[in-house]
Amino acid sequence: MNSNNQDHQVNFEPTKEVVLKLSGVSKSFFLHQRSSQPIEVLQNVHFEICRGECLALEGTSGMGKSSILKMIYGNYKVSAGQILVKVSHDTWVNVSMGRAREILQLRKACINYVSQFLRVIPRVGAFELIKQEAMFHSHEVQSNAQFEKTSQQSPLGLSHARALDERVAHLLEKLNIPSRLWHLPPATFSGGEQQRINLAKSLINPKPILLLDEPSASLDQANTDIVIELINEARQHGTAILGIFHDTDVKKALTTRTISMHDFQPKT
Amino acid sequence: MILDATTGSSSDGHSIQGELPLLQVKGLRKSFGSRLALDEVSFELYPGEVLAVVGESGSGKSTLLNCINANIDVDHGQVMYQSRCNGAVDMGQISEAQQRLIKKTEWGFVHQNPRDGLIMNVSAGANIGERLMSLGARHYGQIRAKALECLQEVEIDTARLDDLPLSFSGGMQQRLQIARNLVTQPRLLLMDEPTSGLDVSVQAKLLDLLKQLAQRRGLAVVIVTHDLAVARLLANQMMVMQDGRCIEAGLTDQLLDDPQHPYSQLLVSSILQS
Repeated sequence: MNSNNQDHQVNFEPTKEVVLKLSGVSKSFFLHQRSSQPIEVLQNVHFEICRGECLALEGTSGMGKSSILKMIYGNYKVSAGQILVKVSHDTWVNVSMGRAREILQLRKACINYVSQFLRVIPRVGAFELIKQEAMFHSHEVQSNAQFEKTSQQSPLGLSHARALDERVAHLLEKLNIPSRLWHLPPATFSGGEQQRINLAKSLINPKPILLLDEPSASLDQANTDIVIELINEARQHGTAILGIFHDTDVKKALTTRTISMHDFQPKT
Repeated sequence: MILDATTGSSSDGHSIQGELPLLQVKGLRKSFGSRLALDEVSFELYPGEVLAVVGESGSGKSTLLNCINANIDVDHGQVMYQSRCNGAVDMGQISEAQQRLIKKTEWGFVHQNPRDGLIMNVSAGANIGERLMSLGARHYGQIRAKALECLQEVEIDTARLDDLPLSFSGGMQQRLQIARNLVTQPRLLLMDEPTSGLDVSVQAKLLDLLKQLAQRRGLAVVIVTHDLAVARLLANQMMVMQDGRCIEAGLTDQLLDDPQHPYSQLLVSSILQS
C-alpha cells in the first residue's frame, strides 16, 4: 500500500512522532426524511500520521475521502471509533467525543483545514482576512479589559503588527495574487484566486496537522507548482498532512505515503 | 493520557479549557399558563463565543433570551454570570438594583425592533450618552466624545450625532441601538433577531459589523434568529429549539453540515440554499 515516490523532493525525514490516530472509525448518515435505515459510508477507518508526513487518501469519488477529513476537523460527527489528536507531548484529545468548545480550541491550536470552498465574511478584504486568521487563531481573542487599555492601538503592538503585515504580503506575492486585489473581498475573485486565498489562510499560521481537500483543483500549472512548493515547505517544517489529490502529478510531488479507501468500505 | 472532551479537563494541568464560562444557563423552565414555553434549557458561553439560537416561531427562542435577561421570571433554573468585579453571581438571587447595574454595564440587549431599544425623541448622541449618564457620567465633553467614538465604530456618519433616530433608516437605527449598548464596554450581548427587519444588503453589512465587533472585543453573544445563514456567518456554536426544548446543540458548521436530529435535518434542508 505504501508508495515510494519522488524521494529527491523529500528532504525532511518523517519522524516517528505520531500526531493523529484514527482507530475503528465509522460514519453513517441517518436521513430521517428519506429512509428509516442509516446509510453506511465508512467502516473501520484506521491509520496514523507522523510529523513531516504527507498521506494521500486514494479512491474514487463517493468512497468517503472528504468525510474522513471532515470528521477529523469536527465538521462531521463520528458514528463510532476514535480520532485522537496529539495536543502536547503526553496529551491526546478524542475528537469523536468533542464538545463544540473543545473542538474549536483544537482547530485553533492543532488543525488547519483547506476545503474546496472559501466561506468568508462578505466585506472583509483578502489581506485583512489572512491577517485576522493569524491574529485571532494564534492568540486568544483579547479580553474586554485588554481592549479598554489598547482600544486605539493595534492589539499586537506596532512592531509585531508590521511584521505580520509583511508576512501576509510576502505570502500573497508568493501565491501570485495581484496587489491591486489584496484589499478587495475575495468573494469577487476567480475560482483559482479564491482557492489560493483559502490556502494562504492556513499557511500563514502553520499548525501540527494540515487537512487538504484538493488544494490544486482550479489552478493553472504555474500556480500549482507554487502551491506544491509551499505545501512541501510546510511538511518539511514538520506539519503532518492528510490530503485528497486527484491530480496524479500533484499527488506524486506531495505525498510520502498513500492509503487506499478500499479497506474502509462498509461490508455489504 | 487521553482527554475525552466530555470531561474536558485532567488533573495534571493539561486541561484545554483554562477559563471560566462567562454565562451558565442551567435547566431553565418557564410556562405560561398550561403551556410549557421553556423546558430544561441549559448552555454555557465563554468570552468571545457566539451562540446562535435557532428554531421556528414559537419554539421558545425569545422567551429564553428574555429569561436570561431577567425580563421574565423563570419557574425553575439558574442563570450564573461571571461578573467583572464580583465574580460569579446568580442573576436570580441578586437584588433588582444589582441586576439593573449588570444589565446596564456588563450586558447589552439588542431588540428586534430598534424602537424598543432606543429613545426615539432624543438625539443619537443622547441615546448613547444616556447609558453613561445613568452610571454617573456628567462631563458633557467626555460623553459626547464617547458617543462619537461609538458612532464611528458602528459606521454611522458622525455628522448625524445630533439627529433624531426617527430620521435614520432601519439599518442605521439598528446600528445606533448596538452603539448604545457598546458604550459601556459590555462583555455579553443578547440579541433578538437583530437583522430580521432589514433588507438583504443592509443585513449583510450589519452581520459583518457584528462579527468584527465580537472578534475585536472578545464579546460573548447570544443571538436569536430564524435565519440559518445568519447563524452560519456569525456564530461558532448553535442550538436548535423546538417546543421549548433544546433538541440539538453543537458547533455551527457541524450542525449545519451534519445535523443529527430529524427536526434539525428538516430545518437545514428546508432553509439553507447557499
